Amino acid sequence: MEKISVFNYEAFYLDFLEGNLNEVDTVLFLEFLSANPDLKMEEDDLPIFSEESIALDLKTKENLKHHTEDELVVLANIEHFLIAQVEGIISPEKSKEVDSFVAANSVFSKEKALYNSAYFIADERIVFENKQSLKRKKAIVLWPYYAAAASLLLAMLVWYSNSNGKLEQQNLFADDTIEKNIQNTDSDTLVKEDVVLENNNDSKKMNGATENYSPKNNPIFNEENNISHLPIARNNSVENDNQTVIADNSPSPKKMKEIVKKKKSIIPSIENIELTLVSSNEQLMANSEVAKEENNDYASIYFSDVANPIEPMTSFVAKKTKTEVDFRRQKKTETKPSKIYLKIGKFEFSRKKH
Amino acid sequence: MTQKEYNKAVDEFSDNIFRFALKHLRNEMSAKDIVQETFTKVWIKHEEVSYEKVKSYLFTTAYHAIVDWAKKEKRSGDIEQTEERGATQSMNFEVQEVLTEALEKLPEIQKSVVLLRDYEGYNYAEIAKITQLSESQVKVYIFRARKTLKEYIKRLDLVV
Repeated sequence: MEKISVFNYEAFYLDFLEGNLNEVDTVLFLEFLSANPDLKMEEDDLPIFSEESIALDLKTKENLKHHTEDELVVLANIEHFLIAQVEGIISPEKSKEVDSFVAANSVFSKEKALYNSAYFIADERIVFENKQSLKRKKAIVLWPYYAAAASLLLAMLVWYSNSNGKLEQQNLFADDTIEKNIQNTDSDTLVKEDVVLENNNDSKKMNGATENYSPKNNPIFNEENNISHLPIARNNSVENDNQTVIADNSPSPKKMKEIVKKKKSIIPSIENIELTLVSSNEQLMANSEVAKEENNDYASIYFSDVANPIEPMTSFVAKKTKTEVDFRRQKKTETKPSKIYLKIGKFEFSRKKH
Repeated sequence: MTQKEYNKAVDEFSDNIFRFALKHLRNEMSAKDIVQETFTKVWIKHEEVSYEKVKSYLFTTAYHAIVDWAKKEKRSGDIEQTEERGATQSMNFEVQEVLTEALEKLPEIQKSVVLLRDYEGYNYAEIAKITQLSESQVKVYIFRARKTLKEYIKRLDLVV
């Protein structure tokens, strides 16, 4: 322990008063005081170190208090009511009472002015310049358009393939019909005719009755080379029938003439079939045109006020596929129902929803 | 709240949020960051927040962002620098500028409630909601802040 002297005894004195000195130091300090009685402090001069001495000041205490409007405005609570007045949280009656108090105590008029000034006013010149960076742009959702286009194409493909199939079937059917008709009506005749022809060449036949039949040798077909491509000209039954009819080798000259006449009449009838096919195709086209007009009428009647939102797309598809494509859509509003209209060639779909 | 309403809220309230943050932080860059952060957070929740309540939501978000910022800056010691910067401007005797200086002397919570009250005109209940305090706490903080501000401008003898 350092030695207690007149130069450092005050620190020991404070520690002694606060009770921070240990027993040894206390004994030493008391010995020092006994040796130097003039340094001993009087009771009144000693500082008081008690819990009571640690306290809040009156102003702080006042801040903690709650005040109500029931209280009279007095010196102790005037500050609270001045703030409450500028905050606008007291009644007009209480505000008048505060004003009366301030008028009676002019020292508070400056306080009131100070409180009235202790308010922040927003500086409108300070602005956030980069507002655009905060804004969100509407994302264009493309997938419904892609989906619509894809489904449109798919529908068109399905329709197109179906219509092609039908057309082919129709053609095949037409060919079969012709063939069957010809076979049904003239197979016998043809067979007989061939026989007749052979019989006509009886003189030759006499030389070689086993000579095979060749359509090229047939004067009728030679005469009408332009129809040799027709199914009738390639009738395989001819050869077979050839053999069967060989037995019938006694046609009368009269019958022969009739057969030749019939044979000749076949040619015009084939032409007639061709013409009929052409005319039926034309009729189909005409019918589709009529249907188209009818469809247009439907769209123009019920969807005249509805716009096509994907007009470039439908025009493009229509142009590429040479098929009429139309799409119209109206969203639901307060006055109008929602409408949708889709047309791909002959396929039409419309829906109206209230 | 739709995207259109959100963009409208940007136009209407971004300046207010910026001023609120700037008064707190005294740093333009940080204030801009707070604005950006606030609106980003609000956009994330824009489908849940109605346009009528967006202002309150914005200030709540901004307030929390400021509190977080203040905590972070206190740790890095930047607050002291900010205060020093404020002190160098004390030669300006315009009341509002002096009050801005005085604002720096206030604790963060008092600063927030006073600014929400003065700048945005929020009542105690609204401020309580934003700051997650009770109404009586808000009132006490505002009253204390007013006294501090009054004492500050009184000391400079600016108001006759």
